[in-house]
Amino acid sequence: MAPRRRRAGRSPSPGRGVLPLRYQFVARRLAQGLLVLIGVSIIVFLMIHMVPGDPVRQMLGERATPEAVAALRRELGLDLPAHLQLARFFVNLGRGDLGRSLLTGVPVAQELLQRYRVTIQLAIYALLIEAFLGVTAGILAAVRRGSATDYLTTSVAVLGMSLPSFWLALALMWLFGFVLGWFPISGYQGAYHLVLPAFTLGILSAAYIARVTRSSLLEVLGQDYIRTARSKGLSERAVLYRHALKNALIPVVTMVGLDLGYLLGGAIVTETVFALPGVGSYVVKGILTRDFPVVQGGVLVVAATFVMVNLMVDLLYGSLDPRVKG
Amino acid sequence: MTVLRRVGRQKGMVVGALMVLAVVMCALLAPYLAPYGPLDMQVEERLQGPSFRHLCGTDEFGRDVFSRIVWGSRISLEMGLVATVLTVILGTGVGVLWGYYPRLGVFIARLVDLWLAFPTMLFAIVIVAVLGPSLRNAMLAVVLSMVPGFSRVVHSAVLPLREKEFVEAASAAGAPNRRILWRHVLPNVASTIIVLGTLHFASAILMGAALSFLGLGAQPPQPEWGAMINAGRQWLGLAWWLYIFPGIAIVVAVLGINLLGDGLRDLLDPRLKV
Repeated sequence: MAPRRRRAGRSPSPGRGVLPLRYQFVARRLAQGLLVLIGVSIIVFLMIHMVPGDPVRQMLGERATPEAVAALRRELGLDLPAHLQLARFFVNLGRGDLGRSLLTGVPVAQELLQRYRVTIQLAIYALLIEAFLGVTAGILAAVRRGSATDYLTTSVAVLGMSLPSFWLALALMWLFGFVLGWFPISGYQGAYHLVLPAFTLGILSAAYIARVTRSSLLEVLGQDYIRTARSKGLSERAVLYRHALKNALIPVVTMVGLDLGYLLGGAIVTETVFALPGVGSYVVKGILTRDFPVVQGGVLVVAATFVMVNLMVDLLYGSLDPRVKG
Repeated sequence: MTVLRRVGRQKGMVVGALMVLAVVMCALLAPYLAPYGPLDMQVEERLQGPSFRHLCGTDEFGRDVFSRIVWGSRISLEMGLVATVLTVILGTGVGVLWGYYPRLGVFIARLVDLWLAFPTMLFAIVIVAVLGPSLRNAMLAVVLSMVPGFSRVVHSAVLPLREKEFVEAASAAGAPNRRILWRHVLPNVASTIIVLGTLHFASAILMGAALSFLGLGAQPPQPEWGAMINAGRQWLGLAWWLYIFPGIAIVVAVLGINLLGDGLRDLLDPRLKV
């Protein structure tokens, strides 16, 4: 992960503005986040205009009556001029109205809210698995650098990075669901159904986390203050836990945080394979059935979550690493 | 010799290169390696498990899975290669301009921020949804979703070069920007681009397979690995060979390229973190 970028040649002069520096940083990032959110909404809105041909015709099929086409067009507001459509879109957005599914008639916002519960649960379980496996493996590899443990961990991590999520999902389903019969294969009736999907996502991300943890810890362990800590007679354990890890885990926390953004919206493939009623599978279903309001609402919510999580990670990073403040 | 020796010390890289070589040979020699055609159906032998006659079994139409995997290497490699070349060209162009021209850079930075506000896979899926599902559109989606991240890394490699003496000297000597970019900036980020490009090649194959798996890329009966896994998953408990073997093919190709990329990074650009 590239370190947070700071604009070159323009560092904020101390004392500029009325707010203390760290709040200026927060305020600036919040404002940027808001701008990106508005940009994202506009892009999502434009999607309907980018679909080649007439979206309404495509949704209703060639044999739809002109009346039906006109009615749907009115319902979607497509008969209005573009700028009014955009205004209408934002007004509805402000009221939390994302339209209704063309297929089921259920309000998109309501369905998304329900599905979000599944997605959030899945994301949290996956995150726990990922952080535990990844950090443990990374620390082991770094502490015993050059050993068989290191070699094995690094190899498994590269392998993990090369696994297609959908294939790992199917392999786990086959082994633990079909052959051993320990876990349900698909659908959702409770946390038990999230075990295999959470492991699919967790194992894949753990590979990245392990690599980052290892290289970050190795870098920290080579620094002067670690030598000082060792030379004052601290045990290797104390050096590691009290001194090295604190700094080494900063980039890891950032990465886990960024992963949360992906998990809350990007678990599209895994949710689809396990037939989980989450946000990601909702978007895919919307795309495959040409259910336009579903796609629009789903993409918007996913992107908004992603932006907000990234923003929070950014702010958290600022408070963890004193060098980023200001 | 020293170069060869340094390469030889990177055991992972050698293993990776061999894996990539195997996949490339499959693609080049597909007509000779595959015992059957990728679309040949032998209905009387359908859904058979792995045997000497059919190394990876047969699918529900009696097509030989091994032959389809061998032929599929052409699709995956070609798609990955074209997508990577396009990403490298576009990403390098955007990244160099972004890093070298500060004013333009601010604009590009905002644009990339907006772009990266969508999770990569979601972005790719939405693009295919707009363009319509096909192998070519999936490839385009892969390119468009990889370019911003690629250009961001190139940008951060170009940025420190601006302050370097040799760039300042060339500029003071009156060299036009175009010449500075071609002769001084680009050669200095070349190793970063090679390493980054290799690792993106692996991602491109993975993402292309994922799109095909979702039904948004290669369409049946094309012997594409992701599409084969998707077709096979309805036989989850009955015919594991339909999805396990194409998956292994993906892993071999992607792992080989990743190992190669890791080795290249250690050789060429050890400080690059990707």
